[in-house]
Amino acid sequence: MHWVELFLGAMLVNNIVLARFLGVCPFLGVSSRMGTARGMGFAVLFVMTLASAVTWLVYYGILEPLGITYLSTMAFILVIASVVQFVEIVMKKFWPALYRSLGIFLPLITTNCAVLGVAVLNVREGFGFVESLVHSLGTAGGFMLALILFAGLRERMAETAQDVPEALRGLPLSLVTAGLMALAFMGFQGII
Amino acid sequence: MKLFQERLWAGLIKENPVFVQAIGMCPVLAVTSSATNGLGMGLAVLAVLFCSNAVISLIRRFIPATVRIPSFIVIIAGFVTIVQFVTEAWTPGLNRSLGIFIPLIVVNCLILGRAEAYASKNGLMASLFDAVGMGLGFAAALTTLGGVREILGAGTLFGRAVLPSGAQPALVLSMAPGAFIALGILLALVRVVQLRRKGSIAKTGCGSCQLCGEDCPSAGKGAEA
Amino acid sequence: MGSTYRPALILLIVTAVTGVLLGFIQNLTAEPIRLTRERERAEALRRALPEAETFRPVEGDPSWAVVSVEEGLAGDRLVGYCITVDAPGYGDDIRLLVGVDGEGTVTGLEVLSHAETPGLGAKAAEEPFRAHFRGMTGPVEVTKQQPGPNEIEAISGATITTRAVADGVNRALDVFRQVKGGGVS
Repeated sequence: MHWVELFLGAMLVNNIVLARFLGVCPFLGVSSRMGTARGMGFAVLFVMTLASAVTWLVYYGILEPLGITYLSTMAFILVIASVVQFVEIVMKKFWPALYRSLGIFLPLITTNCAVLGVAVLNVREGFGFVESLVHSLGTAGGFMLALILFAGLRERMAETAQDVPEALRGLPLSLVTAGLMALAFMGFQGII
Repeated sequence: MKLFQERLWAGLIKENPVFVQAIGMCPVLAVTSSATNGLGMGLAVLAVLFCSNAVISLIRRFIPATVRIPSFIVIIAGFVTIVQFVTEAWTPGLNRSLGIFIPLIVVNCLILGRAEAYASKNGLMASLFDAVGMGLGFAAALTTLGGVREILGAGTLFGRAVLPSGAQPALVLSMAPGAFIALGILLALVRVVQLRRKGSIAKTGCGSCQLCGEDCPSAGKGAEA
Repeated sequence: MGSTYRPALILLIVTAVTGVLLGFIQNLTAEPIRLTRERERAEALRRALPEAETFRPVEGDPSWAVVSVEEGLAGDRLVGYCITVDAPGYGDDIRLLVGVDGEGTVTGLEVLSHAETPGLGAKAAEEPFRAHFRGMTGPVEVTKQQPGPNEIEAISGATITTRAVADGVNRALDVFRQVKGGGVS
């Protein structure tokens, strides 16, 4: 029950984009088409889970025993950059088909603040290893859900883009739409 | 001094990182529930940007292209950690309200973007001017957005009541959805002004930061998301 | 060989220099950070139990399920306790510091951290709401009408938060009775 709560809490109640405001750039940037949104969603799922595992091990295996937890921001961002590189190399070699569909998103993830954000949150909340994994899976699921829903909305909106006043077209209207989605997601608050 | 004025003007108005370029969106949305928080975050980013632009401009000739971005990130992470220490020691209230967004300044694409686009190509003084201009532009934008949300959402500004006592503030503006909606409307207003004055909308995007994906000019496509 | 290893070496140098400098600065700021934390804690304790001059931690029984218990002393005389508890609120846990005098009356309530909705539940952290708890002896009940003694009027739109705070205060009062009755060793 605890795991389900943690998972749903991370995915719906504290949705990474709509409630915590992490990963807003890719959310706005790669959501104009459903296909790319799905690709980005899976790439983030992959990297976020792996990066959470590695950052957790680095924090509790190296930084804490040595008493240098103040280096965590630096260590985490280096770990994430390396994980992304590593995933890219492995994917290219063993799953070339997957690499062709997700490859272009991987470099963009290094500076995706959602990935670093989850790593920092895992430590701040004092999660154990498995808790961290469940939390990051839920968070990544929430990111994917928000991204795909948003891409669906934007595909529809693009059909009638000409009716929108010029100043509102594009980013401003996307932001207002995201705000309405966030309003809907607030309905999840208190379910857990 | 001419260069200083030019960079200041660019950062505050012409290429304002938030209202014109629309970069570094996560903290822009997250910490602007009040003007005080917006200003605090803006100053933290200004401090990091100032230091990182200076160091990167100084060592730019020694860093080979292949490890340029990782090196920049390490340097930025260092200054972010220092800002974290300083806020924790002397402004604990601010540290609490900015919370996780202080370490996340590392991945704010404004800072990496300026390092890449400006400091790695220009001298020390020019890079410092650029940092001041862009940093102040960012801080001004965050304070404006925070102020608007605070007035309309809580009826206060910098914690002091400003609305007449009968007025019921619209709570939603201080919550998460209000952040998106308020920023969207402010961006639209900026574009109205741009359209009036120049007849076209300035391109948004992440500069040379790789964060935004396919819709970025850096990814070779139009910026109109 | 130089051309392949040089970039890696330079990255390593940059990282090492940054790391070492951070170590220095961490050393410089560690003391101010510790002092700030202690001062904030001391101020919260003093607001919760104004009568006490010094505070001393009480070794706890883990079954209390509280964060910490401190006894407040004026000179050598025991004047009350400060009990820190976590209460599950609407957003996340609300961490409360409850001051209780020797007779079991609430002397002050501090909200140390919370994640309640701004404008609604977040009002629980504001002084006017917290002040209502002063003088209560518990058990505290939540009401939507005019509150009587030991009753707290629910914050409109944030009944769950109000209930969480009331539960937290009740738990602190329970702990007070255990500490007092159980003869703390």
